[in-house]
Amino acid sequence: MTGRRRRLVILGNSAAALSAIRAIRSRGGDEQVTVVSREECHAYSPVLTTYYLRGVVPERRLFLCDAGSYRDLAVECRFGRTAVELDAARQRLLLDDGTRLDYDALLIATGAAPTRLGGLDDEVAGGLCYLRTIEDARRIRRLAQRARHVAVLGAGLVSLQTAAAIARPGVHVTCVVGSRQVLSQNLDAECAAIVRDHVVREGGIEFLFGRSVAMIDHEAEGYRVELAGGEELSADMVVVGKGVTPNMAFVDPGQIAVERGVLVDDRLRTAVPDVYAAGDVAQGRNRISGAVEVVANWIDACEQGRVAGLNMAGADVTFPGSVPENVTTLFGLPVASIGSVGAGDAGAGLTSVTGSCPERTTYRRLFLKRGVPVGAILVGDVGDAGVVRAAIVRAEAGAVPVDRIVRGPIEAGAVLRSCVSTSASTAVT
Amino acid sequence: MNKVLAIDIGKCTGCHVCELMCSFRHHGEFNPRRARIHTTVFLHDEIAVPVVCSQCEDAWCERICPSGAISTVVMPETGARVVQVDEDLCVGCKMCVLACPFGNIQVGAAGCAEKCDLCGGDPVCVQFCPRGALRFVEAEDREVEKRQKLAQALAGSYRESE
Ligand SMILES: Cc1cc2nc3c(=O)[nH]c(=O)nc-3n(C[C@H](O)[C@H](O)[C@H](O)COP(=O)(O)OP(=O)(O)OC[C@H]3O[C@@H](n4cnc5c(N)ncnc54)[C@H](O)[C@@H]3O)c2cc1C
Ligand code: SF4
Ligand code: SF4
Repeated sequence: MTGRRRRLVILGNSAAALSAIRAIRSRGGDEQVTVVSREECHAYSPVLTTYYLRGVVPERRLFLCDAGSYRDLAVECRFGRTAVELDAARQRLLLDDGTRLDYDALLIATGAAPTRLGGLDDEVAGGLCYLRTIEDARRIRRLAQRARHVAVLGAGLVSLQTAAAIARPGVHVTCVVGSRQVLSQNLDAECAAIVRDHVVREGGIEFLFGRSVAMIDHEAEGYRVELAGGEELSADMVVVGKGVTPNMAFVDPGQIAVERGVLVDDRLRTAVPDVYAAGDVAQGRNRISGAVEVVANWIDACEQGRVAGLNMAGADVTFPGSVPENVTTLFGLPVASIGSVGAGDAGAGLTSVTGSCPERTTYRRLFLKRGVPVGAILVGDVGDAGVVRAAIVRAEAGAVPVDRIVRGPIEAGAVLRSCVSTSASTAVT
Repeated sequence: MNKVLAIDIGKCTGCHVCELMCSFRHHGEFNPRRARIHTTVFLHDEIAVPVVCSQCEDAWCERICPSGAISTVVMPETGARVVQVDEDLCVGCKMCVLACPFGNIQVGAAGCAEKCDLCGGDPVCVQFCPRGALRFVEAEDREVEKRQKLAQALAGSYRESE
């Protein structure tokens, strides 16, 4: 076949995008691949920005690619260009400099941006810090060097990691939290209390729970944060961590179905043929609960990007579904959260089994729905997080040794064993 | 040549010599908790299951490492594929621990990910396994390949997206 080479456009230059590009190239086709990103720089890891804030890694280590990486992958780069309009009917993408890119297949991997705090005057709003991009990280690092009192709004993963990175002797960090607990998206109340106590004890971070921000104003040296009940606090730096919003302003909802994110099927296809979406911008099926939702984490973005890339390059691969999962370490305390863990209002119908070993500060909780494990929280010892994850994900297939898991670290052999006894006969064929 | 570390579950007696030798080779101490191979013994039904990194093709850990610290190399002498961690790049985030369905990669006391490196081409666990349950052999061996696939299918079933 002579014909022209297929043109693939990858929109975004992070976890999902890079995974897709690598998957496309792994199939050995001769597609022409163009990658577009609104940031000027090479791909980097947002996950590592808090390590950079802590001074654990230098800035250059945030980068996952250099010019050579893109050359090796044979992709054309359009960096510093924002997608402004996707015309799916004409299979054409419009960039902010007026360039039009025609494509045969396109991947929306534009991720998400921090949700902005509204209702503030422009000058105050412009002074607030958010953490997502490398540019955000540079700014926070610069401001944190001089700060004495920092207000962090929110206690999610990014907020806590940022608070932990900034807190040091002489710098007081106050987290203002709407809900009654930390990590309300990742942990149930009981595990959250353990993490909170640890963070207060080890990091000296102060928490104000159940408070909402009424107003933020300028004040001589910085900001005055007014809370709904009339309380006030002064801070010379305010970091906002109120969750993220998918970057999909260039998508016409009349053409491509969107809800919280861009809707995708189990092949990561959007409602329109030849347009795919993956990563934090995509809304697909949760592998465990079956709900169609945005699951925003690094691992999921990589895996979705990979499947989307393979399919764009002509394969027919299905994605088994997203798993909410995260592992983090706060002041030396590792915490992993996998699957449905009764966070937020998703707790209905879940029961749980708990095990703890106070002298080793380990605590673990397995969540079950109608007797089947659907989630786990591991605090203190997360060495078996992958084994537990695999057990939960395949829970319906066999006996998950629930007691073993909550009692303490479990070895893969133990799960393997229970699988051997329940499914070996069918798996060997 | 394309050697792999093959496990014969039926032959393992659960003596844990592999764990001791592995921890000694990598950390200079006989401490099974620091070994990169683990054997689970089931007294009740007299079975022992050794688990060690299968140096996956397109490895989960490598695919998701957010600092690009994991890569796959092929050893020139044996043709063995090794999925390895670059200690200078690893930040100890434990995401690989969450991604590997077998628990075959761990973040150690030094704050860096550790996994089986096939001892540079001559695995000590194989040298010292008294029952020949661990072998370092050609992957062409159909039996070996089948057994590896089975082990992966059983424990893996993780992202069986292909
Ligand atoms: C501080 C921090 C810590 C984190 N820690 C963890 C963690 O421990 N574990 C975990 O699982 N996850 C963590 N995350 C989340 C993780 O970083 C994201 O889930 C992941 O980056 C999502 O990848 P993505 O490829 O979908 O999108 P993103 O990483 O958001 O990348 C989006 C890309 O699209 C580009 N783009 C956006 N809009 C446009 C446009 N209109 N035109 C052109 N280009 C555009 C951007 O420039 C960027 O290249 C953390 C995030 C942060 C900020
Ligand atoms: S550590 Fe786990 S995921 Fe990585 S290569 Fe080994 S078995 Fe595969
Ligand atoms: S612990 Fe190290 S090797 Fe593992 S995912 Fe994190 S940076 Fe990569």
